[in-house]
Amino acid sequence: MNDSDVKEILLEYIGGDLSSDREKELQTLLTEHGYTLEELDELREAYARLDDVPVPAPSAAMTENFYRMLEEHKRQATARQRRLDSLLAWLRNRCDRRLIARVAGALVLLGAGWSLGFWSAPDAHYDRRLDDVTAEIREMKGMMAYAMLGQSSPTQRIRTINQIRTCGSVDEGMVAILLNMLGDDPNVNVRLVALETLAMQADRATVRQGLVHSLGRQESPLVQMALTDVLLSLDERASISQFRGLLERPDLNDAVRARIASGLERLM
Amino acid sequence: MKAAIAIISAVMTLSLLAQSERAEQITVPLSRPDEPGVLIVHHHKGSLNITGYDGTSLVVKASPRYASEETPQPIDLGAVEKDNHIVLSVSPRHRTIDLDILVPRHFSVRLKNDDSGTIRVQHLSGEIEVSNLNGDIHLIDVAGSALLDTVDGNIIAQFTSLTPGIPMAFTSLEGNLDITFPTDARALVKTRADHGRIRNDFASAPEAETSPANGAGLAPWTYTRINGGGPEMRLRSFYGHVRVRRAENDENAATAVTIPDERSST
Amino acid sequence: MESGSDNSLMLKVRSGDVDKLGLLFERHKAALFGYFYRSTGSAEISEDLVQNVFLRILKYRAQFSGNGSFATWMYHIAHNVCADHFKKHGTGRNVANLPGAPPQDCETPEGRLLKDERLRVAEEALSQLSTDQREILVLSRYQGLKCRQIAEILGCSVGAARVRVFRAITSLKQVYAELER
Repeated sequence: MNDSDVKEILLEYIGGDLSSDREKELQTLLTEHGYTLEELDELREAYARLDDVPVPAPSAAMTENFYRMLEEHKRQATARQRRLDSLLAWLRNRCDRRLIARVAGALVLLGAGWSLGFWSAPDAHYDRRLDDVTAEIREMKGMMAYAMLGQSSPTQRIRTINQIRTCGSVDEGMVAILLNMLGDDPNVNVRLVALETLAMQADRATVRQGLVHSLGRQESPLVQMALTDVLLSLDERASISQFRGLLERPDLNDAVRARIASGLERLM
Repeated sequence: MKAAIAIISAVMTLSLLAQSERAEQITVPLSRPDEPGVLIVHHHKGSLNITGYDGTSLVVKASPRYASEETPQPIDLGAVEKDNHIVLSVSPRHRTIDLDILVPRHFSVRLKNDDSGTIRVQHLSGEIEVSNLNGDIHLIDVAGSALLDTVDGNIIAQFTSLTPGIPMAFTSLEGNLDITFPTDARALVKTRADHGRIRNDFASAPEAETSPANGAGLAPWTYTRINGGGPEMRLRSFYGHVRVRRAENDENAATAVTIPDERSST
Repeated sequence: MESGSDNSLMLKVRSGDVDKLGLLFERHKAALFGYFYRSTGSAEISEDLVQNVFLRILKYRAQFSGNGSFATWMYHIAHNVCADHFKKHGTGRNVANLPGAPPQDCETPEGRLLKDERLRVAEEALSQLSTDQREILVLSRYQGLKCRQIAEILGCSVGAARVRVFRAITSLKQVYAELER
């Protein structure tokens, strides 16, 4: 009998739980391991004396506080929902109604994809209101329960991007959203569509900067290749160091490697 | 969000020795048996075979591809179901495990695979999202919409009908695309093969409208508006060919591409 | 899972029906309060700690898997709350303001005195034990948890839990012996 089993039987006796069929094992214990019944009874008594300590009843305040806490929790959940609604209202100033619904939908759904939680820090060049938006997005991300996982749809996000494209004016806010999608969307095709839309705005410095920045963070060979193509066709020399960084990765896809290598030569 | 969560997990130890291991199987019932649902699988190594059928539960069979002489780590199949959303997980990750899954016909799927396998979906009606790394993607007799990407593999997709208004995308780095749309599909088909050939059955039809490259350099896509146009269907391969077919009722079934099963070559 | 069981209630809370937490509170508040009271000796602190436990249950509700028992999960949280409290405020016990044992009808004055004395000794003995030993005695004697559950709560093996309970009882006996010499 190992020590754990020994203790198990002793504790049963001490606690007054020893069943009659275990009594024989207890006897064996006493003889084999040198415990005496007297010792065990002393332990049993000490243990039982713990019952001498009464516990006062908790006050009614404890119960009140609990329900107050519960109400506060529910209130905060509704408040978060209201903040989300006011974010949608802010977006309403930017473009036409239907587009807003789509973008807002995409923003809400963006946080829940294959895996939760990978938002990049906003770049200093974005204007203040965009910082607020990003902060709100990050807070909303915290709200995404795993149950939302089933409701995020890459198809809707692609539709959103298509609408941004046809909306007319793509402002810095949209650029930020697109760059975020390029960097963080869990679906490769969504990223490719975002990239395409960004490429059409390549005359903006923020877009070029964002594209260069994004290269080093892409893991999918498809996006790496597409992004490489875009940067090379833009003759964007700022991407040289990013290309070099990619070449150093041992797991880089061969086709991508070949493209970057030949493209680098032309760039430099 | 008030539905209860049913958690089903089957861990089975297998007897080893020189004989091949038995496949493991689990059945996952649905909270709402008569409603459509979503199946999500992120598989690491092995093929994924999804087949739609007329039942109301999910049946998963996991077969190890290679018999092993030493003590193999047992296959652990787990599934979580909530409101007809099912997430499936298979371990251990390092074993090549082929999954055969029977799914109710009106189900959407989100499938991801890292290595060693073709992802095949057949007889399904829903939203199909597949991301494969090293293998082919085959969609046979499907209806609905698709978002497919693979790095090394080919994409073969045969649609019997499309959900109206939904954009789709098919992208491969090194493989070929062979996509069949129903004759009456309304869409704006965008094709691009950076280093390959494009052949589009719809382009030769009188009602089709093809316009070449849009803007210099950046976007050499070929646009084909079919049946008056509709949502964008993007078909792009970087190093392979792009083939778009129109389903001519039964004819296309006869010319269905034979799809090799990598399992038969051990 | 029969409806109304702790586990099914907690799963409902997890799905968003947070009002069900009220039912769990009503069921377990007395026992939890007792656990903290015997560990800290202060009623006021114990009430705060009980509140703390339910706050954490709300905050971490997504982590309840439904696999083990709710009680074990709850005491696990309670154990952490207790440990955090001791880390912040030290382990000194509030032995001073003991409630006297409530008088009972058929007791003699001598009987009452004896009871108060026993109470005092018992309280003193408890306070002389180490925090860990006191806690394990509380879990085992007062909360009535089996060694298997205690092992889960404290994150040790069942064998280790048994040994620790046994040693705690032995220590308790020794402390009593010295107090009554």
